[in-house]
Amino acid sequence: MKKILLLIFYIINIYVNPLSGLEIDVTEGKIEPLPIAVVKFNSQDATEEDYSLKINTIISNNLRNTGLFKILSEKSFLQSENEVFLQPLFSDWRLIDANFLISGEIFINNRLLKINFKLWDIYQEKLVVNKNISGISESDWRTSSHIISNIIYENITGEKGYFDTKVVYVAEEGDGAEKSRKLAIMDYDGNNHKILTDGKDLVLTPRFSPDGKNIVFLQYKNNKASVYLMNLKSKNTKILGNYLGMSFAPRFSPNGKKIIFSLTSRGQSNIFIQDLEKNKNFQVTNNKYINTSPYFSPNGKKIVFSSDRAGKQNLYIKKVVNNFKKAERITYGKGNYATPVWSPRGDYIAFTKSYKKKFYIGLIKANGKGERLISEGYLADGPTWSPNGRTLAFYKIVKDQNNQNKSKLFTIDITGNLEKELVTPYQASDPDWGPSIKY
Amino acid sequence: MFLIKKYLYLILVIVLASCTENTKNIPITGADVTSDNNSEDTTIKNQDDSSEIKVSDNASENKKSMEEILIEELIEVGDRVFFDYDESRFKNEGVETLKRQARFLLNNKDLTVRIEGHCDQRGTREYNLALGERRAFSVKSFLVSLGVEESRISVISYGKEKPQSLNENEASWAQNRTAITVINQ
Repeated sequence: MKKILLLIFYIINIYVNPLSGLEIDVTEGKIEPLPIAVVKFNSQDATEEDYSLKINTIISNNLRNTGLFKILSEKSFLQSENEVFLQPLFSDWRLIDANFLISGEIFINNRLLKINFKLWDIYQEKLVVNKNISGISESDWRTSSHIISNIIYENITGEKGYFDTKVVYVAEEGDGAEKSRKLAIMDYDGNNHKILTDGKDLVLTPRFSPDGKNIVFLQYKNNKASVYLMNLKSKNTKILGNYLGMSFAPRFSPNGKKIIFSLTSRGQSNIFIQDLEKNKNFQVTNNKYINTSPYFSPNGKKIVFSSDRAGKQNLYIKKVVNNFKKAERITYGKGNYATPVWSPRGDYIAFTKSYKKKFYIGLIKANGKGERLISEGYLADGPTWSPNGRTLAFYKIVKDQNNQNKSKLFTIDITGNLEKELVTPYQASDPDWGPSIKY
Repeated sequence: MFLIKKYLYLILVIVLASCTENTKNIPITGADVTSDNNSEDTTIKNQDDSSEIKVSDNASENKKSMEEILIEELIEVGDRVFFDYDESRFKNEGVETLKRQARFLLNNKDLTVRIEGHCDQRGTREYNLALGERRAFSVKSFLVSLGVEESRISVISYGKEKPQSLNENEASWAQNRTAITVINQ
């Protein structure tokens, strides 16, 4: 909360300062990206220079991906990288409107990387960060680029960086009933791709635990669909519980101690919570309708879910601590509302909407106000929040060059700008964006 | 009457199967057969010598034929009913299909079945899982109301994950909004 306040303060501060270049359109919630210069880190030989270029690319991509920064072209730089590292000529950088500047030095010794990097505030003419990272094996250059990006991001925005986060999803091969699905995990930017299951059993909807160490997902085994848990390190898998009906649509609670999910009985789908420590479960909804896609609020006191109790599917919020009250409907627009996900900031709920054969990814405030559709596409579904609550990942079906339907992942800034594909080696669906992992 | 007809047909198929077995499979040696079929016939094979392997082969062949016959019969009866968009009550023409299914199940008391509920692509994944379950259950309840024991019927939903047709038009979506009765093996 303090950090969010800090960010708001920071944005307002910059907004007041016309020199800074950051503007907020209050009505639309759009943020003009802040121009920033990422200067190639100094190096002594070709190998070091190679790493310098690769690290520079990753840092630039990370900052650009946030939607908050505009990466200035190297061609516009007036000062050389060697000079900059010692002391930037602030007036030169102000000429090209750089608000911040990143420079550094890279050394390789015994296949270990050592990086010294600096972050400068050009308008305040101040060195903000001057840090060393050492003892990194060469093969971990990508991780170190993400760590540097995190530190820069944290120092500019006051928010925790998320560039070392992972995404789990369903990797798909083939078509139709013969399609094989495997759980897969990768870095948030699509690198370090790994497959987690063998494809024998149909798997869907993997979701991270809050510590990023486990996932919960739906798996079909022996003609039964059930919720399973997997430890990502050991790959050990176990069933959540031997329920009579189909268990599906699982999510972890914010403290990681509970799983909320849907369970079918006599054709109905109701919401249950399984306590992993006490090995107990309790029922949250109890009616003859479809109640599914439950998702906890960040403080764990409420849930949002989709239900067709009023005919069409709508989103409802219900308290799940102390005395449960009646679920409160928050969507009243046309069409069906499904798959809600509560922002880690608590402000927005993202959802999938279908109306007149079109699909949308949308946002609504938890009080039901301010509905906004930010992306449209055939069969778009499965939104998931970035850890800073500023970007969503989701999947949709798009045509490839042979006019074939392909399921792909996309990310979009919550302002509705900057939609772009998150490239995966296979077709992909059901992304879940994991937490920042401590380093 | 129905049963007698079926058994006559079965006997005919057994005779035909053993004929084709004799004519077609002569070049295959006993050793080859054992190595190929070890999963199905192990108990029989362990007690029998190679001359009797053929007998066990025929037995498994017949058993398979019987399963095949039942599967074919169910398809003839009508193994699936269809639904309107976002509906979980099957279309009216399904009533006759399910009456025939119920008769088939009442005539074959040792069979258990599962009903697989499916949806077309135009829905979200988790909602469609729930909708497929509802469809499968509506078929199960109808069969139970016609006298089929509840314990013989299980339901499973595949949502929109196993479409029958991949085309994007109303005809193929209609095919995909279905509940299919499948014999458990």
